[in-house]
Amino acid sequence: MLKYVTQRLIMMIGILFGVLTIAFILGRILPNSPATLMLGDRPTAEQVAKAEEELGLNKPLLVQYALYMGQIVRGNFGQSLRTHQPVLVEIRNRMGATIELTTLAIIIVVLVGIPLGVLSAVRQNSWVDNLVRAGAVGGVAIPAFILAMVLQIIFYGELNWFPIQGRIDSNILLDDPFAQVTGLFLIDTVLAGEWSALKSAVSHLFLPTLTLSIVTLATVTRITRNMMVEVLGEEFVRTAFAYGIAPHRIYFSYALKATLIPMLTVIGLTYGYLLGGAVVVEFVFDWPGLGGFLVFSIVQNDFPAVLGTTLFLSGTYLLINLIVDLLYFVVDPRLRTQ
Amino acid sequence: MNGAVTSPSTAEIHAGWALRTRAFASENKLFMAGGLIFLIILLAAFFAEWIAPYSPTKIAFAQKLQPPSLDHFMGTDKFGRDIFSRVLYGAQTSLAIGALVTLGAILIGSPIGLIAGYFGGKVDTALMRVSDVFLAFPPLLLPISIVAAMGPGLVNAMIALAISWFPWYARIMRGAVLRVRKEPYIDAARAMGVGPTKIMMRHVTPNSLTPIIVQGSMDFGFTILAAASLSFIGLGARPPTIEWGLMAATARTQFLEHWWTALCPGFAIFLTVLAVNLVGDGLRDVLDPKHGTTE
Amino acid sequence: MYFNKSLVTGLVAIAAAGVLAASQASAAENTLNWPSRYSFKDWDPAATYSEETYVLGNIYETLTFYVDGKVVPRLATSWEKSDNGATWTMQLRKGVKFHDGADLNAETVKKSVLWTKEQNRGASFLWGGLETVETPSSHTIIFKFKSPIALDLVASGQYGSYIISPGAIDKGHDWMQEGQGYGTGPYKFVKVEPGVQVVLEKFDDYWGGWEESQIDRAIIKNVAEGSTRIQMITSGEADITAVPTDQVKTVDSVDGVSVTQGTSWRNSMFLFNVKKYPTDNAKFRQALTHLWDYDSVLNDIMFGVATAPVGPLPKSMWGHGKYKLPNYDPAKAKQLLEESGVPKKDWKVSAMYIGSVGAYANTMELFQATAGEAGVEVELIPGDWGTIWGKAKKLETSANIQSMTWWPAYATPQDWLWAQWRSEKKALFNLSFYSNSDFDAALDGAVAAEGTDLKASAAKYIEAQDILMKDTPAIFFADVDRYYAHSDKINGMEKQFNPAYETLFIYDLRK
Repeated sequence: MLKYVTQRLIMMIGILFGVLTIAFILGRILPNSPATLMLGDRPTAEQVAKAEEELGLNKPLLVQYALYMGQIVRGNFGQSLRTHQPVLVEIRNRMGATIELTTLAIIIVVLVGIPLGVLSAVRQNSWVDNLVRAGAVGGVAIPAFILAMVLQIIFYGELNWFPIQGRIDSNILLDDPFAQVTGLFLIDTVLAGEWSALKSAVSHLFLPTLTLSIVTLATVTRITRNMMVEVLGEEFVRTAFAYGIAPHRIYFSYALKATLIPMLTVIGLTYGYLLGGAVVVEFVFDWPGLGGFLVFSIVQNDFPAVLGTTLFLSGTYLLINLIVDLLYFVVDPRLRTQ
Repeated sequence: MNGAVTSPSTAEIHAGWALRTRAFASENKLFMAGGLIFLIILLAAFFAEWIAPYSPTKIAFAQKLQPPSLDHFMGTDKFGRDIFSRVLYGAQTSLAIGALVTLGAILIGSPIGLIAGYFGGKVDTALMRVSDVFLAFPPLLLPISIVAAMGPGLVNAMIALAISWFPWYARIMRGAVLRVRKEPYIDAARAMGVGPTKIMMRHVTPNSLTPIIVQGSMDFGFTILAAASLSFIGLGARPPTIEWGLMAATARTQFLEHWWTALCPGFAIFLTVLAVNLVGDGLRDVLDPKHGTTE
Repeated sequence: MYFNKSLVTGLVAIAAAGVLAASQASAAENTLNWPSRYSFKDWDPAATYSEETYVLGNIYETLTFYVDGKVVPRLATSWEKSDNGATWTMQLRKGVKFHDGADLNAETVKKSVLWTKEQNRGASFLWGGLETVETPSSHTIIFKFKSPIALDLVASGQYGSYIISPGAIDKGHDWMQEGQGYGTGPYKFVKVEPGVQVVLEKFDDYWGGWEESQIDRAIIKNVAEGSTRIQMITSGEADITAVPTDQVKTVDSVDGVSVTQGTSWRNSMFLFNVKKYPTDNAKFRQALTHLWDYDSVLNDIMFGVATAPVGPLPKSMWGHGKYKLPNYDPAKAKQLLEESGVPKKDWKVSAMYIGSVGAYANTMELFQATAGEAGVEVELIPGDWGTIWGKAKKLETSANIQSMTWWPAYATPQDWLWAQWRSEKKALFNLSFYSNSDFDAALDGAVAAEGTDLKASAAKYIEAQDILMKDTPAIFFADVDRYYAHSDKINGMEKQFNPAYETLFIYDLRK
């Protein structure tokens, strides 16, 4: 078991290293001087030259690479050119927002998508199955930003039930700030007993979470259905039916267990889709998370921020896949004896 | 009748075909529907110049932001341009993007997969690790970073997408090569002195064609979605290019009061991706009945 | 059981009421919610040269103040200049305190001015000719310059002339750059979170005093997307903000929201790169000026928020020249294109502009269409200012057409003409790469005269502009009004249209 874990860890580090290298290459191709970004609108030519010196942009590429790697390993992701804060600080300030959004979305997706997929597979070719399949095929084809705009028109433009930007009323944060213990507003407001803040957080969360959930739901439902269909066609299931075991037990004890491993994989992959989809959703809803920060930093050509955020998100994705891999052990006894 | 084998007449052959096609059509309704829609879109894109009621670029402020009507099926945008005409031309852009990016990913990935599968050993491991790195990025994140580095623009976005997608095809090719290598007739061919390239061409290619087509047809839709998303956040197409995602982006300041400016191009994206996905699913059902397994 | 349950319920009710009451009480503070797209990089008032001025004018003050065409007292109560215009004696206001408690007096003003000059950042060059500063008494200060200077004007400027507390100066530029500092203004820094928000709070000891219903606190949230700001102002979450020009009419029609506009000294133009082919060809440039649909831009894109310009300077600035600017005439353009001698295959130009500014993006898209009809291909290159400016300064990476909106550091034509068109060895803001020695000479003459004789100076400035305009340096398309979308609950907006200051003077608002 330890061997397996170490193997996976080493592989993950290797991949992370590759990701970092790609990020570095990308960062240095950027076509303009980051120095101008740091200074104000009208710096003198000398000020610009001085800034370029400070940023070490004059050294040869390989030296820059070594320096960069050294810094990352020590946890220094550089400084945002725009705000002069360390990139890690910027990430830390915003990660709560993204975690809250994606975690809520994945809970909804798993709680709704998997049962739907199972139901659809179990009642193959019935009207339930066809409806679910139609919904899934349709859902996969909707661009996230269009769905977001549709929801905004309906729930804000017409009904005015929910806000469409931000995470919480800005007055609340200043007048009645609640201690940000976890960075997740839903939890923090409850811990602090701030009910109006909780209400505001929930109403701001509604539309972005709904958007993100719907687009991911379609994929998860399809995959679950397909997997269940395969499993149900397997020998051991048909044997179980032949033995007369109650269908209930077959579905939930036998079939579902067999799908647990691929299901875990799907959940891992889904988290990846969520992180990618979150970029667009956060952009549309002005959600103060890492996705929105990424897009904003790109527009501002703040390359340390772009790189840092990309690395962080990719690292998170890798970590989740690692956890999924480790969970295989828990779920499948066969792997433990290897 | 007395055991003599008669060859079927031409009429019987045709009848056979018709029966099979009809059987196929009724069984795969969704595939047919998707195929039909896709065909319509393809034709609309091809004949855009003739079908479009107005010029997609003519600016006419007097007509700006008009809701859908008989005159303008999809209304007008903030410059007074007819949205339906622009959507038609946008189809050209999106279909081209889908085709070129998918093709590009295949062209990049296949040689890599071939080399990895053929040489095996360290080369294989190295190449596969590299593609693992590409797959380690959450979807959209790598294309976004690449475009961020190269600068926004449709061409850069397409390059970024193709680069991000190639690992899938590398794997397919590699898988095909590995399968073929195990076949006994390869050893026989080699023993006869047939060169490795010829082996590749004759045996690997047909073996890999099916999974590549299946994967490609599924990727076609995602590519269009990804490109539209990139354009929407400002990293893809830019004016005067007519692209559906870009149309939605420029509509952001007005869509709450004028829903058609964003939802009409949005619907076009939806319809196209849906049609393409249905066709892709159908192809997969036909060509690879035991779908669901990737490797 | 029964007793406990009702006791618990009662306690919960009291607690809830308490919480509600508390939240109501603290929300009673008069807060101004002002989301903005501005990117603040350097909060040091001696170094800042950009959008920080929108906010800084609330925290710091200048010695003099320009309003309604006159210079009036502010931190200085009176002044006189010597006959040669190079020595200025000023009397300072008594009883003024900085945010950290320091006194405003001759010594502190001297320290602030000298420090600004030595810093050599931002607009400090305005004080470049300063030789000595004397402080004969606690509230009298004497500035001696090398050559004549209109110090009353310079000292009123929104860049380079803020008076900073000695305590802040001692902490240094880097400390101030982050969003800290002590001025004499009505508001002080509470919190600056870069890229997120800026929070200001009222300075109780402000020398101007306080009234009921003034703003106690201002939250300036960073919201880059125009569409988001529109939603914030129409939903009531924001009190005041800038919205894209093409939404001005829509926003104004919303109940409870108004859009107020007034004159400013801003003008927008697209500079021609006179050293890059094919815009190095004069007739080609002239042709391009006839491909711009001026009326559509002003009416349908700028929506009446801007007026037609008459020259390189806005009509509201003294010393502006009046010229008959070209009109939209595609036929004439085609004729000039042919006459220019530039072969048809080279009718291609590139245009760089700030992509997130709706006015630029829309006008450029329109120009691309109108120019396209005449056979000129326009490549659009939007981006953010940092990127664009870096590229624009180098000839190899610059574009043929460059967006520019200008406003001056203080009330003088020099600011426009010097920065944008005077010969520069290394381009800084002369993004046209324009170099004309006759123009330079006329401009130098005008600047020299400014310190002594404004009328003569104005005449010379016009002379310089005459030379400039003959070379078709740019498409001048808008004298842009300043405008704000704001809640109807906000009063005092009339005071916000002093063209000399981009600052939103929160002190003058009432809610």
